[in-house]
Amino acid sequence: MIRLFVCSWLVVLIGVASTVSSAVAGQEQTRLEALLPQHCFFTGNFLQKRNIKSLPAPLVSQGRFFYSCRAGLIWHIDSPIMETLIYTQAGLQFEIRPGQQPKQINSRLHSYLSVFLLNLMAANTDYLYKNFKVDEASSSVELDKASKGSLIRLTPLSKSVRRGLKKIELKEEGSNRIIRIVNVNQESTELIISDVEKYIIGDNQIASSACSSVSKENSLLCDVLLQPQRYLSKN
Amino acid sequence: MLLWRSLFGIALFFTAVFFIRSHDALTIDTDLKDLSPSLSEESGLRYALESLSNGLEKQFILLLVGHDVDQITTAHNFLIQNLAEINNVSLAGLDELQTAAMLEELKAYRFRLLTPEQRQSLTYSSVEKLAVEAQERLFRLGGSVTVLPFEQDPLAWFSDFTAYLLAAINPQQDQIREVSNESFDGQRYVQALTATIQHGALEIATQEVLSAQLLALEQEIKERYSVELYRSGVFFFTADAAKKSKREMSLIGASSLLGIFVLLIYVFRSLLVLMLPFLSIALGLGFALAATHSVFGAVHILTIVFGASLVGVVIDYSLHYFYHIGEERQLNKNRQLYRALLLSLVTSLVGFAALSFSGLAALTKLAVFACSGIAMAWLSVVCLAPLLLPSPIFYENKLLPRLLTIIQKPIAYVSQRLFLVAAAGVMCVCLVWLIFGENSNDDPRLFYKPPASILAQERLVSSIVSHYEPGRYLIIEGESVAQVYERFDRWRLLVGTDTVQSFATIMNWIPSPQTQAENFLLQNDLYKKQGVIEQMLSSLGTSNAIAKNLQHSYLQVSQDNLTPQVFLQYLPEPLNNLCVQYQQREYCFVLISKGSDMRLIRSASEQTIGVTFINTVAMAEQALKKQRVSASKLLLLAYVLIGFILLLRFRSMNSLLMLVVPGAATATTILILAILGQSLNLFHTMALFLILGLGMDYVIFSREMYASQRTLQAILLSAITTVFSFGLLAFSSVPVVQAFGLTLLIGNVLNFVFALIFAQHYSESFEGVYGNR
Repeated sequence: MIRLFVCSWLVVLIGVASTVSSAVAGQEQTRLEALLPQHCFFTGNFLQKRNIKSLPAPLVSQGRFFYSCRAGLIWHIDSPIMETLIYTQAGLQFEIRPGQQPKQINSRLHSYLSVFLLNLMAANTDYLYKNFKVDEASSSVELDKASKGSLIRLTPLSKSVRRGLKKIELKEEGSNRIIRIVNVNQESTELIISDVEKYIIGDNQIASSACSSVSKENSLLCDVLLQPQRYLSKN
Repeated sequence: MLLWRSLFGIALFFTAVFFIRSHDALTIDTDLKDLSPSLSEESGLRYALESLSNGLEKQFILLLVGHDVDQITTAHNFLIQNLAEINNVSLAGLDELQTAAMLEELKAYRFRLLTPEQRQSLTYSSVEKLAVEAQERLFRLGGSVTVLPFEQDPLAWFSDFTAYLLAAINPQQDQIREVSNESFDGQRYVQALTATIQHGALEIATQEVLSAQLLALEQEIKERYSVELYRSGVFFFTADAAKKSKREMSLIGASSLLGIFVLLIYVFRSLLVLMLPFLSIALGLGFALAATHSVFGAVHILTIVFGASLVGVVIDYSLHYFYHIGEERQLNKNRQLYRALLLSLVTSLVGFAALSFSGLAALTKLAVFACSGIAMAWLSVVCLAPLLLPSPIFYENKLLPRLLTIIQKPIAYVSQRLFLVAAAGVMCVCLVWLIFGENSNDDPRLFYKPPASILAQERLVSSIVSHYEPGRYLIIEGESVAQVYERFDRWRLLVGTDTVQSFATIMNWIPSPQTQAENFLLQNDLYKKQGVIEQMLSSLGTSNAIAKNLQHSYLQVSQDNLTPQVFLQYLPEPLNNLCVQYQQREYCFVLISKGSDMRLIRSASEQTIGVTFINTVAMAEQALKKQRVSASKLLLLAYVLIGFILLLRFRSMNSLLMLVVPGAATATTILILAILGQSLNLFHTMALFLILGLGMDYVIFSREMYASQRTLQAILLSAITTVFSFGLLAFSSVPVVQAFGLTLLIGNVLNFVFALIFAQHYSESFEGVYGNR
């Protein structure tokens, strides 16, 4: 009788434990999804703040971006430097500087960043769960100063990535999204994404004008994004 | 006799001490490399090649293949966890601790290390331009991912260098990816895992344990996840070869002993009498094992397989003793028997000792094993027989004499003259065949025939995971590291810089000593007063303390260059052996990327001093051919030496005709093998040495013991026991053992028949000497 009682309790406890753990995991996933964009075409502004201990003030840069789930991402910095990064869905990366021809980049860092950002923009939680340990952070000093919103922490699973990158934190602050990248030396970079404008899937005309809006001075950007093969390096 | 007894006592003592001291530490080696001769005669190149292949032997790859990424990822994690629990296995690749240690080491040389792009910037850009670029970089996306803190590496150039280095060393072979392969039906996801066997990869005991553990793990993965697991690595081939050899060793050894036991019990009808042959076999094999293990530190599995067949040779001494001892004691002619035994021993030793000149580790070990085993068995018979055996010894005199008579009947029509003419004819035909015929195949891949499943898995994994050409690479040697780099650069100019960029070599990873010195000088522009760093930091509005600290570090840094040895110590096997030092010379490997133009690479290496193109299969084939030709010459030498011994013993030119028996048997065997469609390889040639030794035994006893009927019966019994032991090797599934066994089976039957033809001559010459003839 006692055995039966103990067994019943164990069954109940196991059931409760698994329900709680799956509920927690479910909550985490819901929060992660809430932090991610859920659209195929959108544009926005970004503000990048790089914090280096030995520098008196953060290094701030800003610009605009355009994301297309079909073509890829244009990341255009317009202040204090002028530079554009283009990450295509086909896995090609380009760098464009004022007055220069697009240059194809063959760097592991950009290859990694392009995969990460394209999946983040696509709200691909499968990718994030496979490549990161995803958890809800209890506190983050830097972010807590700014806001008390929910925070999701992504810790890379790959050893090679952990050699440079410690963690990435995602946070919502009003209508803005904050991505905080912390390196192994505890230096951090915050990307504040704001003014996100979504476009209807399939309306190429609108998508095209949205793409052109990233940089009015440089119409080349959209061409590189849409026809990257024309700009591949000769070698 | 005192001499023999003393030698026997010493050998017995040595064997006993060996087994008492190392009974639980016997090492049975299974290295397949022993089957092929050294690829190079130059000791430094040989050392370098062995260092690399030793690393490769320890490594194996497991490849997960499936339709579902989740299943692959989970199975991969399960595999990692379970492999970590196997004591003798570690996961290959740089772990976090190793990487941290490597980065710490590289940090000390950071003022000497630059990527090609950084060198170009320093060479062609002004300080001002570099300062602006460095500042701009800080605002870029991803600029914050660095290895060192900003204060130590404000330009993040060291981070760039380490990223460049790590990407070159580890070309992402362990990443999950989608592939299509002719073995699959459509696309599949794959993920590889490379592991290293810590110790004993080529030892049979370790192989048995590890094979069972990996098999259990493989089955569990297949049961738990819907994935396929494929394996690749030298380990799986050696483990299979060892398993086969061990199984055959047990089967051939047991069958051979059983056959011989039944035959002898039938012939001598006494267990007491059988004690001597079996004691001589046991002591012979025991001493052989002890001697071989003491000389080489291990016994090769093939030595034991071949050694098992020695039973047929060592038993001959006992048999001749049994047939003659009563008669000899009665006639007081023991010396005649001992003389025949001694001559037989000497000729066998000459035959087996010649095996050691083959240059093959396995055959050298076999030569030591055989010579020591035969000598000890001989000593056992000579020393123990008078103490153990009754006299005279009963032996069966119905079946064997009848069998002998049946065989002798057709032989009686062949005169010695006719035999000699026929033998000369066969030898001429054989010689013509050997000179002009397409009769050999020295492909080392014929030595071991791996199961189709292991081979298919190896090919599949290699096609998906490996980036480099299997078995083809370059070795660049020089008196110093600088000379190696210089030769590599010369070779690279001929092949093309872009082609060589993806090749795995230290020369692509670490700058040459000269470039490191230049890099140091070039970096003066970064750290000097009003240099790039000072200008950048000042425009960022920070104090110039960071710039001063960096200037100080730059000026105080050690003037030593980063050497290949220092760097390679942090890399896993086999990469850590990409450069080795041997007797003050440097040897560095270049692993060639798949799909490269081999003709161009080869021709460039032929034009560059110190650069050797290695094609392991072609080189092994060439070396084996060389060994086979040299073994054939050694066989002729063995005939000459034995002829010399015969002349010494019989002091008559006529005695040289005795060599016709093994000579004709050898020539006929070669022609029969050709008719059977067998191409000659080194192992056929090696078996011809034994045909010489065995043929000489038969003809020596025929002559020494005047070809009496009892001598011929002893020879018949000896031939049957030899067929029991060697003949069974002809049915082996290991091609080299099969070649060896088949040659001996044919050759020894011919030896026996030809010895009987010859014996007619002796029995005619000495008819009437013995009453029972």
